[in-house]
Amino acid sequence: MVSKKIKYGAIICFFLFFFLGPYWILLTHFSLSIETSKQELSIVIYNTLFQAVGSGLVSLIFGVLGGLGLLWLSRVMSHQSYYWVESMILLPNLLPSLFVILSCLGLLAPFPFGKGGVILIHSLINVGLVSILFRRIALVKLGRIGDLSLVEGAGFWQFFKTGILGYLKIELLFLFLFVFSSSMMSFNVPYMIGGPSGATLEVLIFEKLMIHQNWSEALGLSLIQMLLIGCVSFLSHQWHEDWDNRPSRTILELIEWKWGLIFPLLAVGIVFYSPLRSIPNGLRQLEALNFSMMELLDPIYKSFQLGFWGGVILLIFSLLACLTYEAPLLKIFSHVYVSPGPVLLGFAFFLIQPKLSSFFMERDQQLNEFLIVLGLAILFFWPLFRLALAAPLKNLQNQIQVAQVLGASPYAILTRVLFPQIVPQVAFLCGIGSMWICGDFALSKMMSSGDYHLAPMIKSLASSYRLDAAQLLMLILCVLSLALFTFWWRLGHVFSRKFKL
Amino acid sequence: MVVTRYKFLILSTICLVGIHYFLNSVKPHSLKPMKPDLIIYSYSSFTAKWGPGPLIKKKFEDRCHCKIELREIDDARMLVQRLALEKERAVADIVLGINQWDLVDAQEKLEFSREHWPSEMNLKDPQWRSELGNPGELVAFDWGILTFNTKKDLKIAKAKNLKEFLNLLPEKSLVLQDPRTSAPGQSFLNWLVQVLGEEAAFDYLEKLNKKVYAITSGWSSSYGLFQKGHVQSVFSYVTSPLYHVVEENDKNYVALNFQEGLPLHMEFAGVMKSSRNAAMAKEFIQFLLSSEIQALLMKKNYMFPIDKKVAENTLWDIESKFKVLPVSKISKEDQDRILERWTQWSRKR
Repeated sequence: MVSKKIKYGAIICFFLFFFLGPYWILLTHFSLSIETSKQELSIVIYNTLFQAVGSGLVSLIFGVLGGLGLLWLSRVMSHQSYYWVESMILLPNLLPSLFVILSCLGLLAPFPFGKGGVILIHSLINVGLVSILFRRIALVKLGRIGDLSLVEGAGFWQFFKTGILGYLKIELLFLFLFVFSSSMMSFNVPYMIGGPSGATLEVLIFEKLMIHQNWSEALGLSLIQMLLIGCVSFLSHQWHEDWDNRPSRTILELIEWKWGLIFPLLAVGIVFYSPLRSIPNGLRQLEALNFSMMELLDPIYKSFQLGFWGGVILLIFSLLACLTYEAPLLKIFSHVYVSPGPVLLGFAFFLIQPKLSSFFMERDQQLNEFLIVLGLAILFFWPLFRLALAAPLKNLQNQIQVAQVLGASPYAILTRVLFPQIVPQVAFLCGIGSMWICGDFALSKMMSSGDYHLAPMIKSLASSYRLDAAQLLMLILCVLSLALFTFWWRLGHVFSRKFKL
Repeated sequence: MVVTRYKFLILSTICLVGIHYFLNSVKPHSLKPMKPDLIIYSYSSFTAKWGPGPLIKKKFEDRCHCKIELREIDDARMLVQRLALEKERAVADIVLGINQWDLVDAQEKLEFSREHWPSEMNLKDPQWRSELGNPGELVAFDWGILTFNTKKDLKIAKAKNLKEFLNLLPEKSLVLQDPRTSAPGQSFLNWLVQVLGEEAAFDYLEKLNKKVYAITSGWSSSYGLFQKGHVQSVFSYVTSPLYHVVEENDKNYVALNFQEGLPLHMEFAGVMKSSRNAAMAKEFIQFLLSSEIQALLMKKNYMFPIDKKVAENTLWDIESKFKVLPVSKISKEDQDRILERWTQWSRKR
């Protein structure tokens, strides 16, 4: 019993070390303060909330309509074909936000820079995911009522009002909060699109660090941001139960609306039309810039490495979290933890980099690569955990308790109970994490002083408005991301079969 | 079935190892990690593949048989901030691109090699020397004149002063740069204050508000928006139209000449005190001032050479066509106050 407690304690300490470490580094160097004028702070908080609420509402409205379309599509299509359409609709949410930004800049002229532009990009990113989740929730919650209402002769609007707006109020609120919190934490979109008038808390933190070098204030502001996001995360964690349950029904004919499909498909169209159209011009631009194949292969390979090792770190974090998930402290931690954001995390690493340099025998480039991978894994792990693993683990708690009562060791529980059932989810987490990590430019730009990976290279091309070349490289990054996802997904598939045997 | 899944694992591993070895074996020598003799920090349009940095680097490397590393910081305005942050790490030997507005800040926050350059070298023009004073450890290596750029066939091309420009400019048709992160943006704001006075400058900004389409963090993205036709005008260099003539044979771009006079933007380079190779760093600065590199900077950076003779009888010999304001200095307190007012204005837009 004691050794089990020691093991759990050690793993929890490991998590606290890595996830609270950046805060600890910053707090040991600087104190907390908020000197920003009330006026500026209120404008920035207003911007943050306005963009998050706007993104949440627009995504919810069009996502629900899209969900009604998916209900129709899932009835008329084969299961396999529907799976492919769902995966395609999910792509804008899984691809790096830079991809969506560039596509919109290339397609919409004039582009609505400012708060409107930020809401537009966030909505394009989230509408597909909301559609898919809404369809699933509707089938779980309204499946049986739908059949009864159909028999009793209820109409579309009647069922829409009483069923969706009545019975699914809480679920709709949670869907809204999901988009709201991810939009609040977004840095790339408001930084590139918002401008000074659309600056959010995350952008203000960046300004305080980079322009004013006011670390104490950046920390103070991040505390405000942390409190806001922590509250939202805590409120919305319960809804995962819903979308992990398998729907009791697969048809909800009463509220199908095939035209609703236009919205998620339009988002996919907007995101992919511009990059595909820009291939010939992009090739010409790269040629004009004298980019050789070798110069492109190197950053492609480095981005792949970044994504791959990021996936490995996420895998380690996932396995440790699975082992100790029943510990109450870790449960609470997984619900309320808010990562410091790429800006603060980058600066925390910036502070310890010289001290770590000696451990890496002054191989600064390798150290930076390691810190980028670790930092991105820290940034993405808990949001991914909540998305992919929290609900399945919660559902497995009974089985774990039974195994413990029967005297199974933690290793046996992991390999015999947990692993066979959660391998696909762990692989999904690692795959999505790899995709996000390989597409990040915020931390890479901050930590390394050159464009060694594809994403920062794309950011540089986009900043100098060589959009066609940037979009062409973005397509390559997209293929690379999908290859990484497939790698982890297939690996998960292989292992889940092995454990089933 | 068993074969398939293990085949997948084995093939994936072989592919990864193969790619790794292939890339390492075919990498040109210059890409293989090797400790650089000089590390130079500069802004992105200088270090980018399409900027003058890589060419100058190659020429100097051929001359000294050494290795130079160019490190990129987004915009010239961020150079001082970034280097101040890296104080403890102190890896930079040379910093290239500090503008005249940031001179005081740079000299306060950073430690440059104390060896002063002869004044006729660090600021060649005697008039500038009298206006700006001796920049001490820093050496000016190129300069530019800034103004609004537009296209000849547009109405605003007729604007002769700031008032006419404001009246002729349609709504949402101007792109500006953030003066807190961009050197041209800072020049624009200080120019308005210099020619109009602080209060009138912010009144002018209020009136300009409706005409501004976007404020970008750096020059490159703002010029891109102008070039792509999203806006009618951008604050840029008087040499920007030359780029379109030389590279695209397009003579439709024009830099506006204002009766109020136009601001100067001067770029300085300095050797850091912590440089591990100060002698070579000093040699590089001297190399930067040679006629060959001055001509290269002029043609690749589209800036005026500090050695004015280099521009004579070339397309860049246009300096005298513009009314230029004296090089002004601004105290740190005044600069901070003006930037704070700008922040408040831009937040409320």
